[in-house]
Amino acid sequence: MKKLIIVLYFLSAFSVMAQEAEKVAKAPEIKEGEGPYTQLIIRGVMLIDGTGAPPVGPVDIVVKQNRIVNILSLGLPTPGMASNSNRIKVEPGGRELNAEGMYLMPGFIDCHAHTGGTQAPYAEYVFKLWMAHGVTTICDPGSGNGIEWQVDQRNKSAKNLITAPRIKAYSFFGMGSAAPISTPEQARAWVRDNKLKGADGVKFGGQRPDIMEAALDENKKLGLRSECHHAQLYVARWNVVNSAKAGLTSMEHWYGLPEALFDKQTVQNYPLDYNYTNEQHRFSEAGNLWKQAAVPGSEKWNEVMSTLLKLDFTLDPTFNIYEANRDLHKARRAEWHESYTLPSLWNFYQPSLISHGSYWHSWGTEQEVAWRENFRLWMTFINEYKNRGGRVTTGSDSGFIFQLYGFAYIRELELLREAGFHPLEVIRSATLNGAQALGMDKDTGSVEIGKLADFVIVDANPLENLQVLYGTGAVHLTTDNKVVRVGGVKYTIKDGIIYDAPKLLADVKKMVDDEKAKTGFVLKQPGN
Amino acid sequence: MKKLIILFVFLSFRMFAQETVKKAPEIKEGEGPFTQLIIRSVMLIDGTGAPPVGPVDIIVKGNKIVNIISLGLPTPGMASDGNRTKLEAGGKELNCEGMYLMPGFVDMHGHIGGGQAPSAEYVFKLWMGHGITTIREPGSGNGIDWVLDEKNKSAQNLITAPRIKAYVTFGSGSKEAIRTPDQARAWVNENKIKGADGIKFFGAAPELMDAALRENKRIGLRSACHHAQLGVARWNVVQSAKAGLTTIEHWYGLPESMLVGSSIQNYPLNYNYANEQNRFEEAGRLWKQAAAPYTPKWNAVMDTLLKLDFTLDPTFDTYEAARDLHKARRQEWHETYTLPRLWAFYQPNRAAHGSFWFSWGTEQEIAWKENFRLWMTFVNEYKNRGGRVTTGSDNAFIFQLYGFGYIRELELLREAGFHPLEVIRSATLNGAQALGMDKEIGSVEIGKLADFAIVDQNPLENLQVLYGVGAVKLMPDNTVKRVGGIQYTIKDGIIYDAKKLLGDVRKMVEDEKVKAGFVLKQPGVN
Repeated sequence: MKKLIIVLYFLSAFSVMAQEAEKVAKAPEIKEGEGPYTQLIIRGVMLIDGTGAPPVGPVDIVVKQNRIVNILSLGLPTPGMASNSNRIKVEPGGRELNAEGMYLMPGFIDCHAHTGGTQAPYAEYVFKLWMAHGVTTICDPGSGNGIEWQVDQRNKSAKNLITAPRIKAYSFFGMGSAAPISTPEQARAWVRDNKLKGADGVKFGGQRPDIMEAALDENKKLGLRSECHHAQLYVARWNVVNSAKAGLTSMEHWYGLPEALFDKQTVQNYPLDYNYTNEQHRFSEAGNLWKQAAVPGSEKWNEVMSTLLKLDFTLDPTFNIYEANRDLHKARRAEWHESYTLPSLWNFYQPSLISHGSYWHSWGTEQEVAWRENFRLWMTFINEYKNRGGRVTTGSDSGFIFQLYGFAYIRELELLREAGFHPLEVIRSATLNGAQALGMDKDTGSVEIGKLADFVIVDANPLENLQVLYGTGAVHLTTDNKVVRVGGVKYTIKDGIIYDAPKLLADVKKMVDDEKAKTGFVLKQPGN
Repeated sequence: MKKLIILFVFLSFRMFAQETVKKAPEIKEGEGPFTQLIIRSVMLIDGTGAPPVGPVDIIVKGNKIVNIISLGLPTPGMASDGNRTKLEAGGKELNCEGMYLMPGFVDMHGHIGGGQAPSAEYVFKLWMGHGITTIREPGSGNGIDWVLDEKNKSAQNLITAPRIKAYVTFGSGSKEAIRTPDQARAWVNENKIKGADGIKFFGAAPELMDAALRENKRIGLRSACHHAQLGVARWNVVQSAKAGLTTIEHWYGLPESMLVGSSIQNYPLNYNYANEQNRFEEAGRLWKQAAAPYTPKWNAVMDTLLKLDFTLDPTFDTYEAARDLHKARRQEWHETYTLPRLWAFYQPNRAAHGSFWFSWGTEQEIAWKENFRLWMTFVNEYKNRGGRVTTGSDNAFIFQLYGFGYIRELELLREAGFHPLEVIRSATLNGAQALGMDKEIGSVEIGKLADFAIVDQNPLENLQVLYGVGAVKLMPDNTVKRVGGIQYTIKDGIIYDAKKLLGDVRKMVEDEKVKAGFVLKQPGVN
């Protein structure tokens, strides 16, 4: 969603990105976490393994260093189970983690995760918000802080020198190029160079067809992966189906999909005074887009879906980043803003003619109602794609439009549920599907023997209420009529290292408090 | 939504716990009425469904509209055009250039406070601050005498309040439980003698409903019914409509009149109506148990209701928290406009009505989203086929606040598929018709009463400009402002400064907070 970057793409200037890069502080040396251990036994936990299997438990999960070595079912809980001598014993130097009554899932994967930017210029802030919400792997779509910056953080995270999720670094197509890329040969050269720089993939925003074709082809040959936000300026001549056929791995957001589904027109029905750089135009007209596409279940709709399914194509919808479009009031009043949103980020969210995603020039009932219908049609496609065996992943695109790192990821889970996913399908989308899309499913994405010990543990059943995963917990009335919060991720385990998730959130809150104190910032609602 | 009352109706007839709600103080607000009031150069949305037209000059004498003069499209020199109606001596001019004028809004489901908001002034000013000039009190929970007293004072403009129609909860005040049709008819007649305008039902045995509704209609009164779950298996909306009910409140009893594959709601076997988490959670799964939209059964029920000229008063807004609790409890007006007592009342609680958030999360909210969609499909199509849909708020329960909740209801009607002009008609003329007041109010027409809502933005483009907190707008110089909020509420020719009324409310809330040392906290946060 980086406006600067997108605009740069289209208007061909490549100088500003590096400046932005320097503004985001790298994460400090790790101070958090315990482990890894020669042996870690997670005791008595309910397991949701990420494959779509139903909850099972209690189980004991045995980890050695950073790998799962055993998963032992204990049968239904019985009296005396805790002291049953048949249970696996902790070895000297080992560690037991009592997780009785808790639920364990694979670490979450955020497939669309910008590592901050000028609006959130601290990697620590972003990483801790993610880790506190159980996100143990992210894909940075564009590496807006610079590919060298991103690769550095990736490598440090891989060695656990910083508190951060695993990172896949995709470069914006063309970034770092001395001149605009205007030939297929230049595109191929850039793609090869991108691999040499250590990138894991390419993030596209749309390009001339021959350049897209060449870049995707070369990238696939080299064994790298790719994502594309099919921006409006290019989608009339190159939509999602074109990309998928040329070898794109995943589509981001949704642009380019309704356009591929047009059956009564070939270009979006733009009002004649439309201007793409006017974001109020851009986002309000986007809200009228899905209803211009073939209706669900129609021939065209089925045909496009089948084409994408045959190509094993991945959809990464990032519903949440558009939610303010259907309910701005809700988004700007989300209860975590006061404690966890940095002043710079809050300022960035505000209606502005300049910031990307801050297009509330005049956003009201009409736009919101249109977007509600837009969501419904979009969700219908996504849910059916899943039902027919397609891969849908979970991405947040946070740091824009009142959506906060970590929190917004959980909201994305809720929105997948709203789209029609069973909660187990939601968790699979957030774990195994993401791992597959990133080519990491041999190592992560499900809780299976031999895989890496990346887990999310929460002390309430997330299937019954995904909201228990929010850092602020879920409201619960006790039997004695007291109102409490339950949940919030308890432990995030990455590479066998146990992180105290509430502690990570407390660190974030302190960063925010300090920043507020420094600047005398008081959070105010827009226009107040 | 009054739980106490509902339980009483079904379980016994002990006296209503009449909360002592403080009556409104003597009027201190407003200017007028005037021998002549000229509202100059305003854009008119007349409430009938006609498109906006203007600028117009609207001439009021006393409390009546005497002329509406179109000025044509604005031209240079229009302001000083010598042909325009001149102000008479002692008259008043209100310059409304660039503003929009609508009929005063009608809130068809307006409880005048209760234990959670024990001040009529607070409630009235929130309503009037949002352009509401008429309300129907569905139940008169403060007692019929209390409500009639406020009604009469409002009619004489001795207090700052909307016009009031007083409906009394069926059976209230009765010394013994009503068990026979004769007793029902007797109560209905007694109710008229006491001065009530109508009856609010919650359901009762079929023979009692039948007798009471027919008698009530015969003697010329109107009625509203919330078809509560305990009675709906044997008496649903269609039966009520046939027996002469005027309006259905909320929606209960409507899906039940078109269930397929069952004749009773699919209650889980451990359901308990007194457990409000059960009650509201299962209600969220009710519409999908009904006939699918446009199927023969769905059409048959709709056509039956249409033929009876029946009115739907959905009160969508009071259920919105069921699909998005986080939004409802974080609405930005709570900090400034919600009384500490009301905030406390909203909290999850096994004892308070509508505070059913024992454990309310993703599953419940998503079921309710679909529930809304099916419900809205019915309501919108009912409107499309010529049916009357009115605007009622049912505040203040479930994090919805007086006045603000009403504007949210307008947005929800828009979401249901109403054109904004249909929304305004629902809020004005339709309400007036349902109350039998359309000879006097509900549209801006010569001869009708001067009840208006005036706002300095176009409400059709964004209904949110009607909220007391205004709508967010980015200015060309990249600064962010709030625009809108009702500017003037005019009732009976008296001009109220709506922003000032809301200022009074803010002060009441602030004073209460200081007195109680109250700090608003979100549920479960210490």
